[in-house]
Amino acid sequence: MKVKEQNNFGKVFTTTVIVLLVVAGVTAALGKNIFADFYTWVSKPVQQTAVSINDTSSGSEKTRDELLEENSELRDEINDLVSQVINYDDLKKENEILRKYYGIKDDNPDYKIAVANVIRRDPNDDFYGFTIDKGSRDKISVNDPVITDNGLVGWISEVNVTTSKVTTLLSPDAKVGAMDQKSRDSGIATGSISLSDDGLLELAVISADNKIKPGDIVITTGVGGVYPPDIVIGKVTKLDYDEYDTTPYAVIKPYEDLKSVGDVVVITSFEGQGVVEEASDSDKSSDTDSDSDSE
Amino acid sequence: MYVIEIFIFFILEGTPDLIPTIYLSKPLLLVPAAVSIAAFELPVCSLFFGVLCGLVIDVGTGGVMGLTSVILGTVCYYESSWNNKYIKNNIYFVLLYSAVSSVAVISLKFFIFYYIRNYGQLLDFYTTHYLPRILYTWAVTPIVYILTMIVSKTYRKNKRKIKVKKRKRAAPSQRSSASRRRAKHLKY
Repeated sequence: MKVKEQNNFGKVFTTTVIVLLVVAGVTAALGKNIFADFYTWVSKPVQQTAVSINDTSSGSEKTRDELLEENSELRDEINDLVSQVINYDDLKKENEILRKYYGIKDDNPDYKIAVANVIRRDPNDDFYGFTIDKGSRDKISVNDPVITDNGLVGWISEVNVTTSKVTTLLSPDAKVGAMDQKSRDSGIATGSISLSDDGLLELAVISADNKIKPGDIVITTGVGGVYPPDIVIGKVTKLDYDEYDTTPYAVIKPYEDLKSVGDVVVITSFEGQGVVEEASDSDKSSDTDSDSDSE
Repeated sequence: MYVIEIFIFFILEGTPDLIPTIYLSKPLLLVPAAVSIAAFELPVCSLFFGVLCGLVIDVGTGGVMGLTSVILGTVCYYESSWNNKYIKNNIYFVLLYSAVSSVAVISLKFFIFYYIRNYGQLLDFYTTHYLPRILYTWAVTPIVYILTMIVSKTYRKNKRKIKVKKRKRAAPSQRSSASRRRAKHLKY
């Protein structure tokens, strides 16, 4: 009887492992999985609630009596207010966020934006990526730029129905066409393993005779069609040289704290989005220009 | 009960600013959760929860699904089998299994998300980011084990209570029929 049971267990175990390997293969091949969509759809409301509870509880350090007194006072106030305002808190929060991002929309009428909240920070992510509460249902797609009122944050790297994953500029996968606003020296803003823990980026692939100075503002060029032009990335803090090949690079401190950003805006559409061919042509021309310059 | 526990751990580990960051790392609560559940359950049940925890970790991280499940499923299955056959369940062995699975799961993540992408400074990055994560995950195992033990005991207590209630409900009818039979017997 025991042997039979063990055989059954073995069969179940082997079948499970095979099924899982097939699932792994399918998800790797397709790059999308229904399980993740379903799970995030279920977990999103609870995750949002957990975030809001954590936000509200973090500042309260009062005694029980004080809280009781405050509670009774608040109850009276609430009774008065409830009759007047129904979803006041929600509306107020939404209003605050919209007001915050109104400037972005106002300055760039071609932008179509979706305001989102950070609902999860995965402990496995080495470069401070996070999950937001908007997904393909809100017309968000992979590679959409993610910004705040302080500047560029990253891009959408994975989209589910109700949530999306954002990879920050701190990741070495980030390759953003950028330039110094003052000197117009261009390069590629990218994350660096040695700088990411301090929340810093580097402006790489800059010419040897660049005129970049500490304090200069770095903005996007818009080349490549992934990021709109003129979005602020950060401020140059210092110029340095690679220890192996002595190529110069500038260290950028983003205006937004990428390690603890709370709410963001996803640009779902903008003028010139996805114009890759033209961009690559201009890239090539700029490359050849720089080559000829260096020659 | 365990599904709820897993779900809560998933929410907690991902909630920003809730669990303190130590040496740039946060723990993966689902790894000790899977190992702790396996300490109280039968092999097939442990395999199921190991696989579930693995899938949930993969959902949170993104990318390829199922590889973490293979690791956690295997560890939990063998842990439960050996617990039932040879070793009496205790926290020291759970700590041992937790160490093995933490190293395996987190090193797999390192391999997929770091080594394959060839970011460079492999050893340096592993020791500064992944090793503290392994240690932190391992360090929270006793807390997760105690919580899982409470969940397991509560579940079993409730199960026993329901059984007793069912027996009690069934008992009056049995008693009445017996008393009826006794009364009949007295008449005759």
